Amino acid sequence: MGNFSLSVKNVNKQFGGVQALKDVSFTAYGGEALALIGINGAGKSTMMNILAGEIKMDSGSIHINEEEIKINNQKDAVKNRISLIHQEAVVFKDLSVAENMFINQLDRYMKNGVINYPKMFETANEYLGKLGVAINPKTLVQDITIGDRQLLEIARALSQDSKIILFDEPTSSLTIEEKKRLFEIINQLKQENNIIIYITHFLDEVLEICERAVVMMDGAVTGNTKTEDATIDDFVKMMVGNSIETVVNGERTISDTPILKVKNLTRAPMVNDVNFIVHQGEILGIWGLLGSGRTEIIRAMLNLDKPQKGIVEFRGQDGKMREMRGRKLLQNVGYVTEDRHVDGLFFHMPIWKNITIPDLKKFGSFILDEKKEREAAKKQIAALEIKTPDEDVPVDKLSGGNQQKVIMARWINKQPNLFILDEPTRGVDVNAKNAIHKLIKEFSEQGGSVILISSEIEEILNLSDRVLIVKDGTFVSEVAKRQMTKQVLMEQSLC
Amino acid sequence: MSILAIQSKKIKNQLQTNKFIVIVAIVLGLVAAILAVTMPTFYTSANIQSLLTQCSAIALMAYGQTFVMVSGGVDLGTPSVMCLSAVVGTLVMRSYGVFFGILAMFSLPLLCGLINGLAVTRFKMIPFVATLVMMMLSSGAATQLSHSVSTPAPEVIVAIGKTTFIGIPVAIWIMLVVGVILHILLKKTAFGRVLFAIGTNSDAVTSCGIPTNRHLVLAYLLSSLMSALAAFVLIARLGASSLSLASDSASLDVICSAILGGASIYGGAGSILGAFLGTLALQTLQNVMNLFGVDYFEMIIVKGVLILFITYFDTIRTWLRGKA
Amino acid sequence: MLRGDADMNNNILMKKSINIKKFLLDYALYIALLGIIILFSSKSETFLTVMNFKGMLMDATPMFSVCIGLTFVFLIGHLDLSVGMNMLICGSLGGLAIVKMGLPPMIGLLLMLLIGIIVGCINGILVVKLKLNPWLATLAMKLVLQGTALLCTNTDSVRAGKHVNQFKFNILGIPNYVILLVVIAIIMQLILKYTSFGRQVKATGSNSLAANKIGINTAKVRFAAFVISGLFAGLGAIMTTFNVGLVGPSTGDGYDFTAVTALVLGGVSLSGGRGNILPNALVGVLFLYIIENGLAMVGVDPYLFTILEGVIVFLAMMFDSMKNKN
Repeated sequence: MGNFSLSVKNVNKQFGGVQALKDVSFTAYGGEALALIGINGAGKSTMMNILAGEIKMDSGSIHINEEEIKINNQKDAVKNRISLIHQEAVVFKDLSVAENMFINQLDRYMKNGVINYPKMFETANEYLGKLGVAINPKTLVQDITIGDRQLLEIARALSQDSKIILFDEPTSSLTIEEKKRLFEIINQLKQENNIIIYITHFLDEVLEICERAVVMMDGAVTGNTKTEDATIDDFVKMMVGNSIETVVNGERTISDTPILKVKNLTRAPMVNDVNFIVHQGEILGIWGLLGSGRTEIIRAMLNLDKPQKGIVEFRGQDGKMREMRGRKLLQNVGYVTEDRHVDGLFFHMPIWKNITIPDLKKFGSFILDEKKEREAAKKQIAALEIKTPDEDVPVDKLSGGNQQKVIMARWINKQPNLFILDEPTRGVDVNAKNAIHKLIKEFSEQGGSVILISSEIEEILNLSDRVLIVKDGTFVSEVAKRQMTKQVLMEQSLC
Repeated sequence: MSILAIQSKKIKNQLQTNKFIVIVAIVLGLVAAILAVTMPTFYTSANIQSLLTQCSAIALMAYGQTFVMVSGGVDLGTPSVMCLSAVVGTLVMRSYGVFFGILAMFSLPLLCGLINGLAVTRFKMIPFVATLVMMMLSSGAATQLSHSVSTPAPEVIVAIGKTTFIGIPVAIWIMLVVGVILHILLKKTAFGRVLFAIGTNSDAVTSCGIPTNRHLVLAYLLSSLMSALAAFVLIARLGASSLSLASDSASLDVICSAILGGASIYGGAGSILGAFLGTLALQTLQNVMNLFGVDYFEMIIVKGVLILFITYFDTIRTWLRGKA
Repeated sequence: MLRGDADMNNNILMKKSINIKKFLLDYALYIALLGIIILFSSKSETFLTVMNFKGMLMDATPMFSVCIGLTFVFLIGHLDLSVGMNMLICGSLGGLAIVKMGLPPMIGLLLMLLIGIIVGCINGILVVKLKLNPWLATLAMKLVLQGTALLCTNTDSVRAGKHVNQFKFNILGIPNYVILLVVIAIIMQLILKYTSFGRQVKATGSNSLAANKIGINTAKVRFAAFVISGLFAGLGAIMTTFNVGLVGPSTGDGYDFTAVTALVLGGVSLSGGRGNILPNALVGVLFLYIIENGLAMVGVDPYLFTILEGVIVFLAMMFDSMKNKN
């Protein structure tokens, strides 16, 4: 171990009203890999980004070998020999591997003011060789695989003389071969007394490659242990809370009538032969870890990303199941997207316009009846208790919870038979969350069907009649209401 | 809240969102007052009529431009397509009669608009680039077909051009009536609403299950249709086709009139009334400069600088909107 | 977030088959060029002559010069539509300095370069500093530059040619300014490939977010690109003065469009990061000039060329956009 260490002490970070990191402290030692684990939103990435200088903490301190250091930007991080291997490699597709590796240190490879390509390629080969990788450094990055791009970043880190290497979800897009290769490299790095910090939610990897694990939940550290002393169960308890099991609502009788049938849905490589049925009045939960393909499955089903194969059938007004080609299904459902900021809200447009947009036909065959639109909007604002002085307020002025309520109102206004909700309470305060949950339950009690994707285990347990577990782009198992516990869900998604 | 309070709040809201139009209107008012004192020649019926008829072609195109800009795009080719339409129209009219001439005059721009729309939606070309190409293509074709010579229009058209209702020439009527129709189309129909939404966040529109491509193509078709209408007004007024408007300057005139009227190159904003006022403002400026004896080249320098300022305001305005 | 990654991986596997297509596409231009030369030489006796080709190369020097500078702007992912009128104003003012003010010809030529640089700086300030929409800004500059130039010359041609003729001589039958341009093109290509500035230009255009993350000062790089574009518009004015002997009111007309066509055709992508001066810009320019020359030799209406140019650039842009989508 030696005396090489990296410590963070009492780190706090707030993002727009939400406490992303609460008094986080831990220490990592040279020659070891420390895992940072936790479910989505636990704060792991935020912590890493602070260490890498990409964001600044509100308070706290960072120490290397007990001496405090200041990291205000990436340059500081590199100076302190810290490098972050990003989830999506920071690379330039139109430049070669070698150029990518040394793009911010080109002066080291200059001779008489010109770039010495032979020396650059040679050095690149050296570093790639150290990682046991055989990529031609002259290849353009656009022609190498994602796994190789990751190795490029690692090589860059080594060439910058980094001794603290942070990995952000490194194995999500790797093949089994590439994963093996990565682990060999990490072991090698450990042998050279480097510090490795490793974010993942693949708990089996944690046991395999890391000596220590720090568990985070809701921004705070809930566990810090040597991996040899812990089991996956222990980790799961620390990730989702050791509290008394949430009272899972009693089982409901769900009708047998299908409202949606999906067969052989395929869109390589994230969606692999997906089959499932949604019944009338049912709330179907979809649960899986990050990168398992949940959103991708839904987007392929809705034809937002064109699938290579698959048949989608939907129940019409007349009760007959019909095949939905192209974007027909999308026009018949209510779809709450994963990130309202990206493809949900119309910023600077008032609330009422945001609510009425999907179903303008209702308000006039040619000229829109603005009064009627505003009435409908006001009704929704009241029903969902959206906190706003009036319907004219632009949506960007609302809080997260109220914004999400506007999105929900949009779909309730359209009155579809099927709701598809992707993370419906992300970035939403407790009260709004409860209100939305109530809405979902009411909707299903009135006969509507819901597909619910969520990373919040409580939410899934609370609402779903049935849960499908996703792994590697396909449904691996189904959990019925009476079997639902947090443990079961976590375990199912891991094996 | 009392009804009066709600009403006045609504008006205040309207004024705030259309702040720019209000500013333009006020500036115009001031300019008009100043001119009344310093330059009586401006207020001759002949000059005002000439100004307004000149405006009509540009205004029509600015209306079309507003639709395209609202949806987040831009159409550089409108004046060139207009000239092509005028040339083709007069040539066909000369050989095959008015009916086929009008048919040709309107169908060719619609084809151009369709190509623009498809280029942007199907081939994912940047609107600026796609319409820039269309501009060069159509002005090249216009020059080629006319051999740089003006083709006279048939008597019927010239007669229409000279007609007046209540003393106001047809061209101005067209500008006003079409303006009203398009204002309703933009602000009060689902089509217009969806265009605003696309310009604000086109991914969100797709997630709502609304087909964006269809709307975008229609916007470009409308813009080119306005070019055709402008061509009609032009040949009716001039009595012949003309290539003088197939220039960069005219292109920028149209875009800037729309921007002055509240449209933004970044999408999601625009107003037909504003485009009308913007056209008026820009053309008045040109007219006044003419009366003052400003050189043509000095004029385009002033225009260029003005356009830079207007573009800057658009950027600032968008930034402020983002902040606010 | 991982959606993109997955598609990337998928695409890598599909890339192997696309590589062959890409190979053909890249060489398709050269094949087409060869085909066109063969076609024209069969239709016209005077086409495939040394004199004709020499004349073509000399005529192409101003355009090629402009394209060298414009390549840098393309590489950072922007467009500069003011190049033609920049060339006009450089040639006009520099020429006037020689002809009307009696300055030594060398100074006049240097003045042309200086004015080009100044215009480039203005463009840089507008687009990078003030963050104006680059298309509208350079289009507006086009008007300002044209107006200023024509105002100063009063639409008369500025005949500085006779003053600079003393500097003209031939090396192995090729005019010295053509050789100079080629040498400069080679130097600029070397700068692109072998200096850290050149690599930063490519990186900025390829992925400006990553470039910022990794510590490249993208604002400086983008500003420099506009200055270079201005400089080479000035050089284009020098080339015009040498080649035609004068700068007239229609000098630079349509240059912006033809230059863009040449670059996109030659393979310099509008979206940034991809392309080189040699061979891409050079081939693009040669292609267009050979077609124009050939069409004239065969007796085709010159107006038709503008339309053909439009169709070519439309197709080329389409391919560029679709290549980019992948």
